[in-house]
Amino acid sequence: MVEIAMPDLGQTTDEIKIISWEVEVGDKVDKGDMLCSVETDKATTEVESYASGVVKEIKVEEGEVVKAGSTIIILE
Amino acid sequence: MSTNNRNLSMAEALREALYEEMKENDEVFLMGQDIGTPNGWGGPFTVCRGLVEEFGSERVRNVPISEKAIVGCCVGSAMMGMKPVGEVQYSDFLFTCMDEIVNEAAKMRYMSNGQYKVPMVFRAPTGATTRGAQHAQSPEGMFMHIPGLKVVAPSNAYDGKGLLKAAIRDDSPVLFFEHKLLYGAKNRDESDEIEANTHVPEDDYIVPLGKAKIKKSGNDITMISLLYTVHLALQAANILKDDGIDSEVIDLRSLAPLDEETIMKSVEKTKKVLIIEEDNKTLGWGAEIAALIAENFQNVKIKRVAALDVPIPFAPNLENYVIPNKENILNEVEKIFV
Amino acid sequence: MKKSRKLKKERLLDIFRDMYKIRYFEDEVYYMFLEGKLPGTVHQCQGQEAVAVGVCSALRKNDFITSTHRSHGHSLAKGMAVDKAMAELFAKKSGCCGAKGGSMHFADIENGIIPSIAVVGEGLIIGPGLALAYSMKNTDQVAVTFFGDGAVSTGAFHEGINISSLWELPIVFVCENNQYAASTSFDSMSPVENVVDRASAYNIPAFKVNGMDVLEVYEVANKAISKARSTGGPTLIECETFRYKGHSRSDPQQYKDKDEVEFWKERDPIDNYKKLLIKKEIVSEKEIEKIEKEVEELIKDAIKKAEQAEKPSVEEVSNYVY
Repeated sequence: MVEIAMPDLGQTTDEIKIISWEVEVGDKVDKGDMLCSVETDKATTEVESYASGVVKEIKVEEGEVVKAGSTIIILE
Repeated sequence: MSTNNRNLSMAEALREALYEEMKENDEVFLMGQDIGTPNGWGGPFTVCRGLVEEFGSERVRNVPISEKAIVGCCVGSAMMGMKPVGEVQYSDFLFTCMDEIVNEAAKMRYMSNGQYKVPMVFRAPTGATTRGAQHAQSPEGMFMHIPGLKVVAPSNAYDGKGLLKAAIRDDSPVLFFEHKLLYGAKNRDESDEIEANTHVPEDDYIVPLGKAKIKKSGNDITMISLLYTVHLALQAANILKDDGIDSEVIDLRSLAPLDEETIMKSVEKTKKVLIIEEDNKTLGWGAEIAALIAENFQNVKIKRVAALDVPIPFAPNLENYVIPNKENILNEVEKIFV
Repeated sequence: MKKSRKLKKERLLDIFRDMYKIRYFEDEVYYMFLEGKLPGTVHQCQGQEAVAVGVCSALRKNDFITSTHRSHGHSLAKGMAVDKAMAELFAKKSGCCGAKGGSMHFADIENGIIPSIAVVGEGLIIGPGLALAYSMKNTDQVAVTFFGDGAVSTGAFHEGINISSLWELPIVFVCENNQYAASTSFDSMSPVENVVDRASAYNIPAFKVNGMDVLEVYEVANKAISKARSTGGPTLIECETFRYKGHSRSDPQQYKDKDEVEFWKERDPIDNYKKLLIKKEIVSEKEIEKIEKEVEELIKDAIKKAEQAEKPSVEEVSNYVY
């Protein structure tokens, strides 16, 4: 099981907003696949997965703001 | 190059240092503007005169007005085993090559964890001489602030030769400040005779970096000085003697490394300190020394005489008012003894 | 294929190995950053491998290079051990600089790498100093300075090339024009269309090359380096290239459009070189796979080592200030 954390993408702040999810529970994810798009202080960008697996749980809703380092999705 | 009369001016003494080190070591070479023309100036203050005729234009290199390149070439060639001695014409121009001094020269050894060293010397004439604000600064303290740089400043010919030889032999980057009024001991109108000319021995000697000199011992007050202010301090000490005040005058000679031991030993004895510096007061090198003393002692009186916090004005009467002089030294001493 | 006839098979494979090493290293580092395993930031060079490898393949061990904040590719191409590079990024004592330097200051005196310089353009002013020493000592060493399109506007670019031309120093200036300085396009910042156009102001030869073709880079660099080594005198080489990733880790690259990225990815230096070697029957698919696997193991091993290595000791923080 892999807990994927929000990467530290901001320049001035740790807080990053999830705009939209590209995957659903049950989807197969490869390393490098797009997981979600997020909004940082600099711009809108995309988060890639650094691991492979099947999506078990999505921990954060679209529109929510999370701190870098907190778990956003769990893969199996 | 030696003369029968061994009483030399600072310019002559520095010239001898360069000559001897270049003769001894093929890796020592010079870079600067107006230094490499045969029968030419030898630089703005004549220090390099005669050297290009002796050593050739490869080793006494004229450089275009390109201070970034002069320092960059010092750093790069020093990292590859040469011993460059570069120069700017006025210490005010050091700001055109600050990056190369602060971000490269000072940091290459540390960033590489000791793989490289930067054995270079960079000379800069400093001090106010009625030429206006951009040819008048005393920025030595700014470089004392940078870890990785050594900062050296002689007040007389003997120290000039010894310190320059030591700087050239040192493995770290050294900023070598020379006061413009001490090259040939040119007097300012209001001062008494300045004795920067001294006897200079013929044999090979160095003055170690990081060691201050007690120019005059005394018990009542410690005067801490550098470059031209050493001479002002000695003049003031002479006058104070008649008032029954026995001054101890310290010539720092080096800002980095700083001879804290000599300073603290003197302060312990006198418990009264007057720092005399030609740079602007705020965050001048005197501020650092005052803080060091305050950290080490209680019940010590500390005062500073420094240039007012203004760009140096042109008019001679204004310039004399702004920079330290004998009168304001005596005034501050009076305040200390109240 | 004219170019490859000059290089033996071993060298041609080394070139592939070096480019693949840089790509795999950078990609692994990229993911470890997403994972939060590495402190600070990184400036990566995926897409630009052909420039680093093409140039460094023409250099000797004791020719020294200056690099920039984007230092990983140049350093690996010049011969830095993967272990040392990786440990430095992990901020461990066994790093190339004992973790005192970091990503932007990789250094390795054994392999001719001075601490890379993160102030844009300044390598152009230190490089001539290296070359000056070679010229005065009469060794036949050559200095190479790598810099980006952003450095072309700096005073250091002007003064460094000017003095190198004046003194006919043995140096090659290699510009990686990856079209962008951070987020600003080169076109919008240069009143002169090509970097090479500026060379005539300094009376030095200049060449513009396809920076995605490693053999083209090698051929031009080799000529310039040989010239510097024999008769002295600088050359400016402008390599047209592209970086796939952002300027730094936190750069979302909004300034690039999708078509532009696709255009450059089709010209990927590693894929195209691999295809060329196989097509010309210089190497088989199996041999290439073997090299790739070796590289991947080397890097995975370096990561493991770095993860387990010691941090630098605070007792040593004042070492080597002077």
